Amino acid sequence: MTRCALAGGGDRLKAVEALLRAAGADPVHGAGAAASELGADLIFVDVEPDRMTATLGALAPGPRDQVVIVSRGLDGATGRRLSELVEAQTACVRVGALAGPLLLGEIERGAPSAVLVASPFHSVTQAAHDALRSPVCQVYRTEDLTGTELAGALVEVLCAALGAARGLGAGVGLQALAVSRGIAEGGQLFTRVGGQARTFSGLAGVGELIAAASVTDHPSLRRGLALARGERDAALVTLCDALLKRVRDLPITQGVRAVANGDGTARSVLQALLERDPGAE
Amino acid sequence: MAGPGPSALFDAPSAEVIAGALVTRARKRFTSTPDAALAELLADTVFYERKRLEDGHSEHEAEYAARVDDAATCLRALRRDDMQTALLRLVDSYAREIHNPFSPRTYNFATRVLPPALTRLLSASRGRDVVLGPLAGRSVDPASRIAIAGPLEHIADLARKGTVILAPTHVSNLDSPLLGYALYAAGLPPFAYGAGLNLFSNPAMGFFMRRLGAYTVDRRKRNALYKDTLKDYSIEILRRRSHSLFFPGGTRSRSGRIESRLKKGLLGTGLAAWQENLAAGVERPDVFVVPCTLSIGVVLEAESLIADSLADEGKQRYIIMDDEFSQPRTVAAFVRQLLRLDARVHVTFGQPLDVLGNRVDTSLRSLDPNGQPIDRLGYVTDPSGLVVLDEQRDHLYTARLARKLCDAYKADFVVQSTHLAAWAAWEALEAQHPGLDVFRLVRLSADQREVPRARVEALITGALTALGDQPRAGPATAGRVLDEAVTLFANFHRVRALEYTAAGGVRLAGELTLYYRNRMDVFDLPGATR
Repeated sequence: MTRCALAGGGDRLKAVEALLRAAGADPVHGAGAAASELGADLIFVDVEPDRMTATLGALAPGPRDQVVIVSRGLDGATGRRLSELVEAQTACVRVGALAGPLLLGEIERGAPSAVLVASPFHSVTQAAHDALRSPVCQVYRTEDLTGTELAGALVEVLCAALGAARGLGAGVGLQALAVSRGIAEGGQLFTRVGGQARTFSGLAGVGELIAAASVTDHPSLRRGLALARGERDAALVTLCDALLKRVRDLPITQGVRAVANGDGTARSVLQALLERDPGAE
Repeated sequence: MAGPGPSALFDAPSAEVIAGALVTRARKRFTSTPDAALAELLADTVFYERKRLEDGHSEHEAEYAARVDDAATCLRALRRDDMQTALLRLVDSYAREIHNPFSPRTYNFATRVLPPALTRLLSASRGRDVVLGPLAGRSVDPASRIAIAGPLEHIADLARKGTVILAPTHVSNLDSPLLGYALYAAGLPPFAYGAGLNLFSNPAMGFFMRRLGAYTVDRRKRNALYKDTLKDYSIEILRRRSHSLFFPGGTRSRSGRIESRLKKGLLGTGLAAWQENLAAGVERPDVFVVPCTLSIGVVLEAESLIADSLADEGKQRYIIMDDEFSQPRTVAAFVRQLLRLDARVHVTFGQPLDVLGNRVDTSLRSLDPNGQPIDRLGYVTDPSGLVVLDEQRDHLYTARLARKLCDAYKADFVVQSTHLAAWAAWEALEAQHPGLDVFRLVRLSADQREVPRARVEALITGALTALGDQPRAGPATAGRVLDEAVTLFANFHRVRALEYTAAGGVRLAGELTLYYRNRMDVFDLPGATR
């Protein structure tokens, strides 16, 4: 049985814990302990990107450890992916990321779900698969860690956009447009920065988008609703900047950034986006 | 400053023993190889080697050629036993060719008379002329020819307590004698080194071969079986405590750029040897990797190398036989000039690493990025201490080592006036002809390749600031950097990479200038067009 430890907090980690228990595991909460004290085969980490460095400092994963990042987002200071922080700041080399809707409510109700675990190390994806796979959870595996993490970051932004559109009273047609243009934007990002395009069209990207679009109460959507109300979101600005540093030409990301930074109202930005020349499809 | 005693390679086992060991390894690997894959190995060998041998082979390849023919025969019936026998006989051939320290070829070249200039270089550089600088303070005696820097004591200690792989950048075929000399002068033991067969065409290699215990690598052999045998050989000799040297770039840099993508086949043998040592429970199981960054102000083969780099895809040659290095008189003249002028050769040994690329301290402990000691056994063992075999994981570990080596090459590279001036002149040229790509730029006519001197100097000044505390050698002001570069270029190569014009400008040579400019590619310098 794969011994698992959980570091951090948050809804996504709670969802992971529920999935692990459904699969018969007994995960241990790290509670700030060092990895060497946890004796785990896998450590799932879920903290806000700006707390990752501090968390890694306390956890201090080492040569024997395998870390799976559950958080979504990118490092605010450098724009790097969170797995790159593990590589840069610790001696731990075997790192992966978990993607998928991870809707706590559904999981607690025992509804079937799916996750994607990404790592170039087969030992990591295999261990995660063994730990999570159960009659209520399908586990997909990929080596494309870069793509999975970028997809997660972009999805966060696109969900905010979708939430903002809803908050403005957008109908189904407009929401569908938002989702499909979001998918196109993902393609743009991926063709430029590497990572496989297929990853974005899978669970880590489109899958999460569809999940978000289908529920009324999704954490990332709530962010968007706040934008529609005129609230600012500094963390979202940072995330958008990190994406835009890679590829300038991401209209929706630019729009979200503008609204989150208070450079324009959600309505005006949406209007501007709609007025863009679609160009050839 | 006498060198330490011979490394294990000089007590080398016979070809018989080594061949036996490699055949054993291959046999073991084949037990888990399906029939179809064995057939594929044979077919691959026959495909590559038959053609090459038919085009003409020497006497001593006759037996090998016969074995290749046998291999071809096996492919008709595809019986496992026959295929395996044929493969193992090929492995035996390869093993004997690779491990041949006393082969007639080696012996002949070792006893030939060295060109006088090379002897002078090596003898003149003993004692007085060589300054061994500490890594931090890089003050070099201006009269010295070869500056050697790095944590030499630390490396020597690791060489006593474990086995060391030296991984240098590769610029010129003179790198080998240079490294052989540098190891000697630095008080390090000799290293086993895979000398490419093509190097034997140059008679001046005797010294380094004695020093480095060269084994032969035939780069004409591209088949997987040969490459596997070479890797097995490397693991075998590392396990027998022979320190080893190989160029992870695989071949001399054609473009002039510092290596950024390394070949991981041989590089991974350190990790394999370490794990075998651990599993066998031997004393001193550790294998360490030491990056070594060469910086040479003027490169003998620059013209041929850059021409090859720019040649059409498909016309590029992996092995260049007819370059400047293949003519002893050219080499001798080059080295004479090196001695006459203040051309600097810098050999920087980097911070030692473990086989995953983590730094290693003087107590042999691996360190994490924050300098805290870690237990590297955790990378390859389970909590009970048993070695866990995982080739897929090992590929990724070696990829990480490669990245760390590239980081070291960049950090340790000594920027010289020739690199800096060539870079600045090229920037100015690009700014003068916006929109032209590299291929068009090298084909500009002479008068179009002229740039204002002031422009070049301004760019050099900007670069000097941007480089910060990157190791550097040469004058500190732009004007003198340019002067030195122009002087050096005037005295080497047929064509002048940079020269002053009557109108007070600077003229570039085109390709040759590009070669020197490319060495600066890894650095983020403020260009003319940015």
